[in-house]
Amino acid sequence: VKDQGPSLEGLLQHLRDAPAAVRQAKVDTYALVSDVLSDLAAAPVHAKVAQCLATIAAKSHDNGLHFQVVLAWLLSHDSLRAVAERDDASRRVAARLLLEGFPELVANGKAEGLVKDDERAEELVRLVLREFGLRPQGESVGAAEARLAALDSVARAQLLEQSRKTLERARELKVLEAMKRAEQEAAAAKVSRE
Amino acid sequence: MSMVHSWEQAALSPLLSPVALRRIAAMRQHAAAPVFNYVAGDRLIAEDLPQLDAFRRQLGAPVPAPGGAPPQRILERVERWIATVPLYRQLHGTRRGVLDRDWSELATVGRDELAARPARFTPDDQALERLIMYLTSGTTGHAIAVPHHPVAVACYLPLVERALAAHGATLELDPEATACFLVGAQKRTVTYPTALAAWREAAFAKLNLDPRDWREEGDAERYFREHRPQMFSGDPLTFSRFLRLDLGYAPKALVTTAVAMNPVLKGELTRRLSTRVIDWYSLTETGPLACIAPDGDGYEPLAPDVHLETIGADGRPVPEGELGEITVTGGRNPFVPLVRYRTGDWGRLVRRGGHARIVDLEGRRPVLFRTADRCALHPNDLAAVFRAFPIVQHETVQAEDLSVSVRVRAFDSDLPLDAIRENLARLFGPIPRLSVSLDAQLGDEAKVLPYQSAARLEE
Repeated sequence: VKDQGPSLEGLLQHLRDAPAAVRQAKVDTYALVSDVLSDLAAAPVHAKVAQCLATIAAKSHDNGLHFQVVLAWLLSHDSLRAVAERDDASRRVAARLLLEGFPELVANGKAEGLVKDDERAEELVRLVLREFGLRPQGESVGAAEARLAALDSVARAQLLEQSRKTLERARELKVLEAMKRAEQEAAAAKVSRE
Repeated sequence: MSMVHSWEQAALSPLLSPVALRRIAAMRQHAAAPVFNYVAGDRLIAEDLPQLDAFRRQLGAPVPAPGGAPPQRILERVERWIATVPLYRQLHGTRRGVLDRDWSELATVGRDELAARPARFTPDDQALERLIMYLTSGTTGHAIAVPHHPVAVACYLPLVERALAAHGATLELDPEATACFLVGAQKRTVTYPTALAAWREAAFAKLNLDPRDWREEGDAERYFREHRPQMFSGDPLTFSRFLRLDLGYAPKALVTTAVAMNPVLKGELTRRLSTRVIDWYSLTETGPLACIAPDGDGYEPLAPDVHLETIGADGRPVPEGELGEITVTGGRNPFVPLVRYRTGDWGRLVRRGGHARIVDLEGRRPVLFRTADRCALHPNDLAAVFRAFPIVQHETVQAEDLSVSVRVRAFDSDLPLDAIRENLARLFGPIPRLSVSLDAQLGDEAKVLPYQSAARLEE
């Protein structure tokens, strides 16, 4: 995040302005991703787009594909296109994002939240900027890092997952205890054999 | 006999009236009573009865069509279970809202998962106070513990009523009536008399025909004759002993565990006892699933809250009418809700007159035998041979060198082993060795795997 990039607010507004087709994933993901890649002149062979989207679909189904639609919409913003087109390394970053996305984010929530929930939108924009080695315009390095850490939905999800696992384990022990108790007691009369 | 206290019986049967409790005591003290070794009740409480009535009414609803995704009412339950059951949350969490579309992609579960971590099947919000336990041995003989609920167990009663009604029989239920004796013939099993609140306090007993359970020879017959249970439930091995009994009345039905009832035995029982023999397909994990159709052509699914599928070895559904593993979704055990639970039983799901039936039901994954020239030989061809003889249990094992050894248990003393051997030899051709022997104890120790083969198709 050593350099300043586009304005955060401009990119957030772009997400808020996403058309219904993007918000509701009523768009051909393959066509959209291919188009944005072509615009960046970073288009790999079409078979690779299809293959990468198939991998995402296999892993995270419709939500993963919807996530790529939102990401393609975000990357189509003029300011990010300018960033992506500035050199080959940036083009490769844009291509990787379009083809692979952020699998760990996909697992944490519905893609439609990216255009509905301000915090998730902001996290996505900041992550995309970070991939290009950028921070939002007008922010210090420290402030940008602190804000991204505060928004870190993956870390939050990991914490939640840990506490869910602890709760699940405690519940499992409770059920096992009840089973052990019941083994010492009479079951109920059952009228037929199995 | 251990001392049985009336308070103990009352605690296990909270809804029973003093009349019913006295009746149970009288069944224990009857002059021909066996040496009862257990006390059990239905453990139902007042709030359970409306639930059972609702279930009984629900039985009028159509049974789901087999295969594909379950009907909406079952899908809604599965959605809830994915939210609340740890195992299903883990397996199907990403499929919420698209179950209908993705149904055949959903991972299946089976006995192994239940044996390893049964508590992961229990919803987070399920109260545990009324949990009871059953052990089930399954075909492999490896027992697993299944948590259960008294209401789910009492749901067997309306399902039995439904099966009887399909065969033209109705139980008369009141505190004076004896509804059912569940009989076994085991070295050791729990035995007790009780009464069932959900059957208007009609009496029920679990009994063992092993002579060591009875004081005098002939007591079992006398106990049956004097209590006149309207139906018996049991297995073919036990019912084969009924051919030697003189009950002195015609019970309305013998409800027998599915898969292994030999038609010769069935015919003899029907004729000699002037009764109906109803094959019953039920697993501890799933509860009752189906009973034999009145026309004898396969099993009719019983419960509208259960969805059946048949799946192949790869976990994918097989086309309607093809052989697959019976897989269950739904049920009513609140501690073990089932989502694509593989039963380990194989059969074909077909339609007869718009209704589902299970035909060619087998208690395990089918095996193929090999003839002398290494052609495939289906167990159904062997079954056709065994059906023609008075056989109650049979076991066929083929070795790698194609030799076959067959053990049979007869319910008639003179079993023409040579004739069986000849019939089998015609199927197998000139294999190195084909032995057929009598084993009077076959099935006493463990469930019998009727067909086993180590032979390969090609050399």
